[in-house]
Amino acid sequence: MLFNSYVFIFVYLPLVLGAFFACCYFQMKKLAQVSLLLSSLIFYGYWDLRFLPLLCGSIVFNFICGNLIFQTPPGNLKKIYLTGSVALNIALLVYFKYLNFFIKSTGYFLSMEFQTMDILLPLGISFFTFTQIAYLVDVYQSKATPGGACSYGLFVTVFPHLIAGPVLHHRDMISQFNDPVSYSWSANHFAHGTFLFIMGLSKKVLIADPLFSYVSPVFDQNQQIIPFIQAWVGALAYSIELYFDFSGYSDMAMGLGLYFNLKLPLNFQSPYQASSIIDFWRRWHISLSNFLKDYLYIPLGGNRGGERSKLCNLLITMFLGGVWHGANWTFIVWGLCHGFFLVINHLWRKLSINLPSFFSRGLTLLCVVVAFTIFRAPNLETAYTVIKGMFGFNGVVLPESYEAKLAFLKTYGVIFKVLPLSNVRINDLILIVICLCIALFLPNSMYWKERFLKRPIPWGIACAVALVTCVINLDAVTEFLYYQF
Amino acid sequence: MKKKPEYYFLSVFFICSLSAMSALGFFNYLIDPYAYFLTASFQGINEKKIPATSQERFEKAIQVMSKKPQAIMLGSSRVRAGFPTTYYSQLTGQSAYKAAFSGARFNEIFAYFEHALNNQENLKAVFIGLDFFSFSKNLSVVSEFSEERIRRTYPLMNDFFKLLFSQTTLKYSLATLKHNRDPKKFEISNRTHVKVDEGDYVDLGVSMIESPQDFLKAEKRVIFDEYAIDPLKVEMFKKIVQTCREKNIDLKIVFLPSHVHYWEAIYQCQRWQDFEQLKRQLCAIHPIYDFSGFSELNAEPLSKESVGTYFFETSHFTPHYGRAILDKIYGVDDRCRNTGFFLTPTTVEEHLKTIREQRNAWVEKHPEESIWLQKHLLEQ
Repeated sequence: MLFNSYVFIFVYLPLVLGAFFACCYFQMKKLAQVSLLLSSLIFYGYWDLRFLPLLCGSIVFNFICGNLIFQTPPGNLKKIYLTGSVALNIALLVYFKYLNFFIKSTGYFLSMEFQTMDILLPLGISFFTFTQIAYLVDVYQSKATPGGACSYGLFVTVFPHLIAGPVLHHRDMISQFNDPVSYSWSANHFAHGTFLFIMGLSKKVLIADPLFSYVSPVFDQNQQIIPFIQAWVGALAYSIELYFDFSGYSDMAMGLGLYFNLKLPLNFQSPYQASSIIDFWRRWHISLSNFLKDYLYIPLGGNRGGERSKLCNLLITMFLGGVWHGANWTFIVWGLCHGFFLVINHLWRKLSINLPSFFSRGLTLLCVVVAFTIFRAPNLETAYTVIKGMFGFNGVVLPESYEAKLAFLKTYGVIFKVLPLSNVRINDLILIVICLCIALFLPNSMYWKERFLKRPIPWGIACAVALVTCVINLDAVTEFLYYQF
Repeated sequence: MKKKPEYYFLSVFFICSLSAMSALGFFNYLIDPYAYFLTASFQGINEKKIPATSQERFEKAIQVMSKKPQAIMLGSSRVRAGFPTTYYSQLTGQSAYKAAFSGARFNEIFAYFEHALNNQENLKAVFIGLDFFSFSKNLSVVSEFSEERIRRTYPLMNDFFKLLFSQTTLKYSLATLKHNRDPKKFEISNRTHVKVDEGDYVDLGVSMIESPQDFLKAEKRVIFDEYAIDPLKVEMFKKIVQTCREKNIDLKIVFLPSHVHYWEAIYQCQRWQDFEQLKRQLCAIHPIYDFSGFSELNAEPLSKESVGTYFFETSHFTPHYGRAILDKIYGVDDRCRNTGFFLTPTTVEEHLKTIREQRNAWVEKHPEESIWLQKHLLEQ
């Protein structure tokens, strides 16, 4: 089920809230937990019932392993339990997500064609697997204490975060599930939750979704030549689409969490306003960045082995971060790109040369957009074609209808012709620039969340208008981009 | 005691949003543009329904559920623009509905056939208009098409809300209301807004009329360059035929006409053999009337200024031609000279040869048109 669907907004959410708060009203805390757990499983199963046993199996397995690790005294056996359970989680992920990629890649390198397997990728598998790996490691390191089966099930499945994060820490969530305050209706949380949900929905429906029509022709039509303007429109439109789509999802997830008095961690903090790549990764998909730092970068040695080892660990972490996003060379190259950007950023810092803010922000954005071009492309050939276009190697093409007014540009090599797939016009450029300016210069949802109750009536009207506008535009329901990861 | 701001916020938010959505839902329910709710009819408001101009696949799926027709016409926009449903209804003697939409792939045609069958146990007649492109293996699916929506007798929950709250429905309701306020305005035929049937009009693409070369170039890039017959779609064709035989449904199938420029484009893109192969494969399963090719009717000179007798533009034929096709296949009379060949495994080769000869004759007579096409198709 999608947050941005009629069924979710008009049927699922009111029913789940009704059931949950009815249990709370009658002070049946356990039943409230069970109702939330069941509704989260329905939320997941609504998508495809076939994946539900896998999710439940994974939860039961990790719950048992967590208890086993917790009960085992420190020593080799405890380590074996941890290694074994993490390995099995990774094996599950590898089977569903990467096996066909390995088969295809092996075939490619051996110039042979191997038969791939018919495997469906279960929704949100990366998120629920990583959440549980983190839990097992936390239990091993005594940072988490296993609780009841129901609260563990809720920690993994609670529907606001199940499909696309944020990646949660057991210790942060379990205390909330056990807190009696979480089982009472809070007008304050409800108002903040509503505000965030509407902000997120508006980001997704009113900004991200319309941008798809600029992205798809550039990346999905197998075009051999993509001129300068069209390539930049595609790359910028995707970067903006991805940000508003994913941060919209995260806002909705946080808002929905607040309905149930759950505080989910912040996932985005105006990433395109970052002044460096290091800063970008503190603002983009924060829960994943923290996960990679805590469970990959630090166990690899972090910065404990000197500068060279630190940079090497950074590269490995970003490479694996790329792999986490999916089984495609584009994700691997994207991860490596960011690894290199981070290495350069760290080396540059040592020179202690301060760049002007606009320059460092511009350069960071450029790097991020170029890397996202690789991330979005269906294959490396397309990524190369688009990037080649972005750097001007495919010339500049304007729509034929502009020839009369802008004929003088012909002397500079500009060609006027109809490009049926991406005939970018001036109003398209204006729209993209406006969206980019929102991401670059306006405060984010958290800023407004802290302030909207100072003027509750205008904000109430504004949110109602936004909700109705979104509801009207929900007829072409689109998935969140991060659902595929 | 002073109320907290969150209460003000929530009260204003819920009052405003619920009242706005109730008004929206009531308006769409009252107008009922898809004729799904069967709301009471009010003259000047919602009495006359008009065809949807967007999200046709959604409209057709919903209307098959509500109308439950006994005869159904399936196919692409060529069927949509070229065949008057009332005339087909007269010929078959059944309540008929046209579930045809732009760029219909054969898997969609198959799905809508099953959809019609699920909604009407006594389906009596089926008419399918075939296109070369609809059997392409490499043509991507249309995002608007939803398998989930099909084969149901009542709408999906999301679709139900869509019927009440979506912008598609709102726009459609407003257009329906506008039409009912001033029916004459809608019923004026011009170069791009053309009449198909009583109360049934189609909007043609201006670019298709103004620059057919761009349409053909797009067809080359999207369809012809990568064309391969999809065996799964052929299998679906076979299933339709089998089902119709089992259920004693009268099945009529035609290869639809298009202008000679379209066929010449297929020829110049080296796809003519694929087209012939497709005809061989399909007529081995069920006899087909073939109106494609280089007949006199298909070679009608096109005009940007006015609608022709047989063609609106390069792709779409007129209902005049459509009636002639229906007359021929239902044995009323034969006004389709040198076309509408009856393809069976025994006749197919002879007819394919005739069409090839017709093509040679056309190229000989109109070399400039063939060269014009070649020039544009070679352009990047």
